[in-house]
Amino acid sequence: MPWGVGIIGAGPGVGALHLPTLARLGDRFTVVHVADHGSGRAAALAAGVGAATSQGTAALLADPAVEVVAICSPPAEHARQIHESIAAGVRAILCEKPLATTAEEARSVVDACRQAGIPLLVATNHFYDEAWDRAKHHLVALESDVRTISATVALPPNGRFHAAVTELAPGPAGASSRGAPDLADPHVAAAVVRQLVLGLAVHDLPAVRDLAPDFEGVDFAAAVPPIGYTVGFRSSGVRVLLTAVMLPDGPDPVWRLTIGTSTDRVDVEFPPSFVHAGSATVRVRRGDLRTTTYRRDADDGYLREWRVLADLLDGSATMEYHEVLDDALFAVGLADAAADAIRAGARS
Amino acid sequence: MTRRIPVVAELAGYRVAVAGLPLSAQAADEAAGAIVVVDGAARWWDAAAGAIDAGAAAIVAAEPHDVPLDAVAALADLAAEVGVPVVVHRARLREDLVALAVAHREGVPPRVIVAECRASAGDLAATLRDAVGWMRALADTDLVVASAAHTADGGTALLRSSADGRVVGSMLSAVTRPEGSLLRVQALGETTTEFELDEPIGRCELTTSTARGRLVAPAVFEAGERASLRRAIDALAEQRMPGDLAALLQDAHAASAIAAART
Repeated sequence: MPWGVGIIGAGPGVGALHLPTLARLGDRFTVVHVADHGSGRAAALAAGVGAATSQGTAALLADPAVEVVAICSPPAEHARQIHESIAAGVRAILCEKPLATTAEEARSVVDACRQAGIPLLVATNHFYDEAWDRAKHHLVALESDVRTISATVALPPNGRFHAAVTELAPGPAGASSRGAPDLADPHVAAAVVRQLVLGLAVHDLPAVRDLAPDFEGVDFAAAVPPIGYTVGFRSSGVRVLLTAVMLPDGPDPVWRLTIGTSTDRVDVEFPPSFVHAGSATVRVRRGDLRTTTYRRDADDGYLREWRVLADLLDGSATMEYHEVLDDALFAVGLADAAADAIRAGARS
Repeated sequence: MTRRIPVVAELAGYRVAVAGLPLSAQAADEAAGAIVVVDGAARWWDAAAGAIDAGAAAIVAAEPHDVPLDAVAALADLAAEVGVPVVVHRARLREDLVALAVAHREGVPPRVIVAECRASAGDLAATLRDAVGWMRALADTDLVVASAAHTADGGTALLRSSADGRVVGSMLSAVTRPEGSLLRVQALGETTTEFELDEPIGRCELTTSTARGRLVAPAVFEAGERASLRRAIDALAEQRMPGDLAALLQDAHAASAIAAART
């Protein structure tokens, strides 16, 4: 029997990501309930898959058909909803990234899940992409000494990618009419970069931590208009450069994670989010001047993260709570340090 | 028929270039009235100044390795004073490719630029300098290093516009094996430029992407030496002073600030 999934949240990430993903995994999961926070979007999404619908979390968590909760709400809600889900006795939780917005929240939710024996998976889809396994295998097999890591991201609006996989109901009036933040104000810039590190850079941070686990400090951080960041930091002696910009228009997305060793350069290029175009592409330019491009897998990281959750539920995979917590603490620590660097730069 | 300009060149690549410009150039031994090619491997600024003193009509500085700021600034002053054009050939920053990259952007400024350099220890400083040059050209502004963390093995840096302080981009550099440089510059925005150079493999690609698609620039078949020599000939014919030395100094200034930011 497939596990019954209740989804908290009804934004584009649910309509374009999780519902199409779960539709591909019908033998393991079935969506039984979708709840929103009053936007009214949940009803349309639920109707499409024959699920119940509600507002808030109470009815969803009281629904006996809900065995697994997917938390796809704004990040500030995640910790509270994880605790509520544990209290309701769910069997497993998939939480969209970031797991938490503070270190205290992260420790609290991971401890609670550990004590309750509930599998907790954070949906850092890039980390679950098979391409990352391949890149990591190359680096480990050759005992590579990693010197640098860069993650470069440029994202046009998501609309054309949403349109390729789903139909989204119009959002509430005025939802997209907010002006650009005043990045000249260092406090605004610091807050924006902190939020973007936790919401965007977090896609790649588990992979960064996989190679360079010990965060040492931020060398510089700056906000990039209209919305973006560039952050240089050190971790386990590795130089890391994160740069991202969200554009009002532009070419297909750039999402490239590059690992430099003393001899090799490994590029992992991710396809656009939402479109379910398969795994990332891994290209290795070796010190002996040969370049290898590995084959892509048909499955993307979204499919694989849900499969891992199914394995955790079935007992065929081991829940590593400390890894979930350390990933979250790494992201929060980096986000805080980047924000501090921006504020300190303004003072100096 | 146009007079062929004498060219004094010891470097093999420039002898080939002279042969490839049979109507415009001819090999010569005397600096007076000639285009003099100076080897950038060592103390090229002294060689260039000496050639100017000997009456050279123009100078081509071939792939400068070291760029001591004061000495090169003095050379720039001397060249300007006597009206001798100086063309600087930088293989990683070819003037024709840079011009093409800028033209393909059709005036759309980048939002942020990322440069990644990999080179042997001996080549890293020059590669980093050329990466700064790409950033300067694509952003159309001189750069200042806002922050940098660097060791002998490489580092990171944040660069801002010296004109208005806006963030231009950031740079990641690393010493690597084997010899030869890898340089990737991504100017991200509504129009995105990507330049990728893999010197050991001999791969060079310039692309420009917009919502309409991706434009791959045609391969450049003209040797860099020939292109540089041709630029010097054109500068003489047009009685024009190229800004190459000023650009080199600007890039070297930023690159030296990065290298000096030891951690």
